[in-house]
Amino acid sequence: MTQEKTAIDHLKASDPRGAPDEAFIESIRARYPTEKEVDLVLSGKMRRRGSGQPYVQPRLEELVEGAVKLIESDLGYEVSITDAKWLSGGASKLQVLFTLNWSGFGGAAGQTESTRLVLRTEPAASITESSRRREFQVLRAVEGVLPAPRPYWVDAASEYLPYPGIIYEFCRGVAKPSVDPGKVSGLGQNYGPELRPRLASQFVDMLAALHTIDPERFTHLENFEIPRTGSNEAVIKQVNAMRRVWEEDRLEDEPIMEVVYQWLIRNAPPIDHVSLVHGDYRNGNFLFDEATGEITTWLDWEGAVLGDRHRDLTYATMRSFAHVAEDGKTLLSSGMMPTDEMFAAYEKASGLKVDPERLIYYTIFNMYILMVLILGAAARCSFGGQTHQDVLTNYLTGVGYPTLAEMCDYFEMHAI
Amino acid sequence: MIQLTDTQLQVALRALNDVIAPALQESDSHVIEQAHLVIATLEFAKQRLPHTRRFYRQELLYFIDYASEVAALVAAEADILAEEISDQCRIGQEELQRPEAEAEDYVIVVRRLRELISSAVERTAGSAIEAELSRLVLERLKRFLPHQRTWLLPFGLDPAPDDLPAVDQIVELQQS
Repeated sequence: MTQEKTAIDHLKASDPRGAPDEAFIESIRARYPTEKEVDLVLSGKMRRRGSGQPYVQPRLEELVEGAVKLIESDLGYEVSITDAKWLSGGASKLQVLFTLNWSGFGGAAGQTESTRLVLRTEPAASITESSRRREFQVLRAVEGVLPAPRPYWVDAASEYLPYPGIIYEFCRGVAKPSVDPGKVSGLGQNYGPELRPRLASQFVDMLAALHTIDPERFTHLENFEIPRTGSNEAVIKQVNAMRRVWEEDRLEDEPIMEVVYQWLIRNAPPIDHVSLVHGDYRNGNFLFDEATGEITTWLDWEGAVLGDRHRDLTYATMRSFAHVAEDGKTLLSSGMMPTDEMFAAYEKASGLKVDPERLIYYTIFNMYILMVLILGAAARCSFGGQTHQDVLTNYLTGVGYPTLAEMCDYFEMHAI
Repeated sequence: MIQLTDTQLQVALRALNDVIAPALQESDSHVIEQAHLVIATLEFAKQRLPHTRRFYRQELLYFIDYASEVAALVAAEADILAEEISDQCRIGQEELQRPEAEAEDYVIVVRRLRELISSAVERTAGSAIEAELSRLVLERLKRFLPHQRTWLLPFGLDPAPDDLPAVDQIVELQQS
């Protein structure tokens, strides 16, 4: 018996992005040119969606088996994995914590060492669709500059794992303090008055260290395009990457997004100093030792780009990640310190100028990015049932419209 | 029929809140987090389901009015597009008159109107009306945003819930 189509069936059938064909993918690629590796990743996402294959959550055993094969293919001897378990945290990636029993690089079978590692892989779709290859390279580039997980292996083309993945060091520390443990993804995370000053100085110093990283280290970043100083070409490509995600993922359009996109292209400032930009530098994205207040690891490097430092500066100071201090009036950016103080401390630590014009540009750009990710990618993930965290990506859309209101007010004040 | 959708959500929420969530205290943190998110999601459905059709009806009404204004503004620069917008507005009016139309039927038309308005912005970029259209888009969004924010209030993520209208207000405005 044929079942009559319901209104929701008609709504799904009217979605041109639900099952994109090659022509649709190519038309978007042509309209919004971006970096080669970003193009590969986004096109891959669209082709997976177009294939109509439903997302099947990989079993833990399947991931462990894939990880063993990946590691053995590199080392050339047998290893074993024990104590594997799912790791919580994050809205976009599947993570498994495990112990690798091995003999180190250059060793032989015999398994004399045990190392705690994390396998980070992606579901069929993700809020932040990104390259494991680039994530691996950026972790290599920042080794010794600021604390980040040491990368061990990458399976960028999913030769061994069900989806592309990276294996890196397990780092000690907590993401949320015991005084305020309830925040999802660290949004508005409050570290409390005891920890805050200790964390805040490191927060700024580490950002300054990242942005002034020795350009020699860019040689690790083989799948990044290195921007030219004095040119805005790289900025336009970064804007286009986001515009492309909006074009690919949105369930419904929000016409202001086109207005803002046009403005971002027209007003893209040339880069005055090429920095390694984290892309998600904020409270909730680092681990720390609650006893000492030491930041032990920076996480979520997948959105890193070579570009303008103001992108991180304005991201870290977005209203969505701030909270009001105990005095009931002081707004603490990323739960650390007032924005002006943060910028002053950053200038001192980095020796780089904080430019008010670029702050305006990148504030608008970051708001645009958040809108693309929340109202576009997150809504698409949950609508399409494409991740292990559908219930979380669906929930996160709740911050979309307040942030859109913030973007409208800011855009009206500074750009229109 | 004795079974209401509301009852299904009510009993599921009772079990989750009173029995299942407390029993998960020793579980992995991602299990606990997802359990709480499931509760928030069902709570959203329970609170919004009774208002769904009226909400999307009001949204369609709003977008017909908004899109008509856009069509009038861009007619000189992009007449074919203006015509397309007007056609969709007519389809929207027909849906509003159709007694059996469901919320999703309204959403389909609103989404087409949204796409057409964005196309208008794209096609008139650099033209004499660009600034006026940008201001119109911004002003129209700002007027409708409180409705969208109110609709998502059950998730508990809005930083200024007290500044927003009640759901009863947003679904009763502008009766057709």
